[in-house]
Amino acid sequence: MVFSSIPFIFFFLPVFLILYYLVPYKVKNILLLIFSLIFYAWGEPIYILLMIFSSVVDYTNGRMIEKYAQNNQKRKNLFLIISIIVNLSLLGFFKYADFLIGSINSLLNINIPLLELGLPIGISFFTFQTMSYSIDVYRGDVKAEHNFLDFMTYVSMFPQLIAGPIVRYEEVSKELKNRSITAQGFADGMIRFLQGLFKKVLIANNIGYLFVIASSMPNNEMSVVMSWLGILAYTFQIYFDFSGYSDMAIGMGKMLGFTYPENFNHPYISKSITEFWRRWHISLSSFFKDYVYIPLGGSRVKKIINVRNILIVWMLTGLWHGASWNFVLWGLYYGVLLLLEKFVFNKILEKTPNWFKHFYTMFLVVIGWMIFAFDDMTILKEYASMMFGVGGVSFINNHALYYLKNYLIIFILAIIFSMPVYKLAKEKLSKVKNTKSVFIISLIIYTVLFIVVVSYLVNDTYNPFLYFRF
Amino acid sequence: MKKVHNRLIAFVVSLIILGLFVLFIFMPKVEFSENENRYLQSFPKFKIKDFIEGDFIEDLESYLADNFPFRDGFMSIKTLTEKVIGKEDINNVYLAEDDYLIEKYNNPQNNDKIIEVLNEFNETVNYVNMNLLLAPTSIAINKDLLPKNAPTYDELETINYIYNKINFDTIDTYEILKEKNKDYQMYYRLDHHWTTFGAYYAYTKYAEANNITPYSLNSFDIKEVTNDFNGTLYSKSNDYTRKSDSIHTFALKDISYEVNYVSKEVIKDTMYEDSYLTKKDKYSYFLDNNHPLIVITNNSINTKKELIVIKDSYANSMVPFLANHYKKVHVIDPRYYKNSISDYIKENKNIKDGLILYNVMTIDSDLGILGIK
Repeated sequence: MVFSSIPFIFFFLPVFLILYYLVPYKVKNILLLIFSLIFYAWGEPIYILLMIFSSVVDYTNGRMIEKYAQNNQKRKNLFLIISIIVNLSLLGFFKYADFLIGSINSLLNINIPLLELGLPIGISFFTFQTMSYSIDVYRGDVKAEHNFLDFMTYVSMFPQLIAGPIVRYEEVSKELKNRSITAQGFADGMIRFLQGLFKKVLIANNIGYLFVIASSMPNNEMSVVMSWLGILAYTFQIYFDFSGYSDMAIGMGKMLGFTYPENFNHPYISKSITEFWRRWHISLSSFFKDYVYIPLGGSRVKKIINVRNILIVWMLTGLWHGASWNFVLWGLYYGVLLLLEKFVFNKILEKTPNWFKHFYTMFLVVIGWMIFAFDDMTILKEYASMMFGVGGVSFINNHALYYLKNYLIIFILAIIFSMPVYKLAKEKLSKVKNTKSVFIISLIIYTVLFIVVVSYLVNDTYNPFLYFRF
Repeated sequence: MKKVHNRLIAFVVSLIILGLFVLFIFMPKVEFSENENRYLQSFPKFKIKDFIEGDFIEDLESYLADNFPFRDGFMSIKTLTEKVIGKEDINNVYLAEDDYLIEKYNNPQNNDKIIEVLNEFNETVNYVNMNLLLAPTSIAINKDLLPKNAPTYDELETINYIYNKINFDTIDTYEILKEKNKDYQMYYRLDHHWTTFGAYYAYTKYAEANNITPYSLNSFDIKEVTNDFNGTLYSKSNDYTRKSDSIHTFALKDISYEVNYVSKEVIKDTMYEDSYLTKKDKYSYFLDNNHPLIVITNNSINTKKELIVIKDSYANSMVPFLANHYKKVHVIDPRYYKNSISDYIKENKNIKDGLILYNVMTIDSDLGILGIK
């Protein structure tokens, strides 16, 4: 089930929340677990077993690692290795097997049949969560969870199950046992959820459709301008979709009394690629930093080893986003850019004016999304050459003019809301004396936008779930 | 903003959610949407197999969307929003000038297939004088009304491409429709069909090509039967701000007909079905919507000649003109007529003329005509 849908907003969520607030405190975790399983089973009735399996394995590993922590280093190691092997095998088998087979086939020119398994939704999120739990127990960063139902609740929690943020066990372990559930938490969470919903339905879906148009347009109707419009549309779609999803997750977490980590911090205002990655999908980059980069030695090693570490991390980051070569390329692209910024032109970049820093960053980010958007290398090449006017498409034509005009307002809105305007407005409004009128205006905005969202959802418009590859 | 304000906003939105939830549970469900002219999804039966394959969930989700309270109202809110943010097309319909809604024409996919099928069909009944009429739609004739730079594929190009490769007679209507559109409305503003005027001028071209003298416009008693027609494009775009259409009939004095709706075993004396004029789907006034086979007999004419029309709904408003020149007109809609049409022609020895009449949009997607035999 996706958040931005009629069944979720009008049936699943209200029924769940009413029950959640009514039942006694002790039962709340179990209720959350049951509803999370229903939520997952809604789209993936079979693969739910996989998630339960992953939870059982890591629950056991956690207990065993704890048991042997003091007196048996070998066994302690063994259970950590089991956790890593099991989780990576699950991921490898369901997510990467066909990619591997396909690559071997084309490399050796043979024809091993593909497995053609559907990718279980959220598998990259829950395997990472359970694995990080075992590692944290091993390192002694957290205590092992003794209550299996609580552990299972942590793994399956529906708000962040299918699109993040990646919540580590240590971040919610206290709240799993003891959290305060208040009316204010519900209200603040609801506001955050609505903001995410508006981002997803009103901006991401709307502008995303322009990319669908551009990428399916016959070559003889394409133009340089159209190809840029398409990829810019995709750039905004993926930000508003993904950060909207994170907002909804964080908001629902608040309603339930959980504090999830922030996942996006206005990435498109960055002045360098390094800064961009501190602001984009924060829970993922910090995951790779803590569980791959630092264990490999991080930056406290010889320069050449450091370069290797960075490239490994970014190749894996790319691969995490989907089992296809363009994602590897996308990851390495960022690895190389970050290396360049780190070792070559950080000094030069510092001296440039701010507008150049923004332009430089966004240009590279947009090119990055171009690589990300096309998993077929031939189509990617074709699209890229159109963007740079190679291959004889016209610079601009009627189609481009039409779509430019039709999507101008939504582009302007997307640009405005990529910047921290909400934060700014909140600060400014906190100084306003007449709080009543501020309240009335915000009430009208939220109500009207919510009704518009419902009208889009009822209408069965373009409403994709972009993370089915993750 | 104060903290209490968040609570109030959350309260109001929660009320909206719960209110709609309660309304959904208690509101009576409708089976058929007049506005969208389709049956709505009913509550799906639970079967383990459907559940595992995801069909159950999918049907359940369409059930919820289809039966959502104030569905039509919400759809118009969406259209309003789209207009506010500057969109000039909605659900494949251009919001054109002069209150016109114009359906987009996309690149045709099946031109060669159509040519092959039709030529083959003509071979099997080559003793009939067969004609092909591919009608342009509003987008070709009302091109000037489209939003600036609106992308569209050229219908005339498709028509010419097919006509060039067809081995029997073809009838051009583009020029006359374009010309007469200055005087009369050839297409409805809010529906994808041509008007009775459009059908009339297309009929004159058919008549010319087949040595028939068409009746002149002023020999008809022209009557407006409704001025409140909101057609398919109105429903598709949900833009309710535009002027409704009128529907006209062209009647000749002293001709009586017998109209036999064969599959329903109903015989009438008129080609018009008044009951539709009070409903949403008013174009069905012509020939009672679509039937597999209709046989219209002209009681007032002295000829033995019969005509077969193989058609989509564009023909429904043109057949009344043709019925004035033949003893019988056999009207077959291949979407619903499942037997062999060539066998039917063999059985009816007086069929001398044939007309295949489609608009250029439907012929590309219509499975009936692609399976014609």
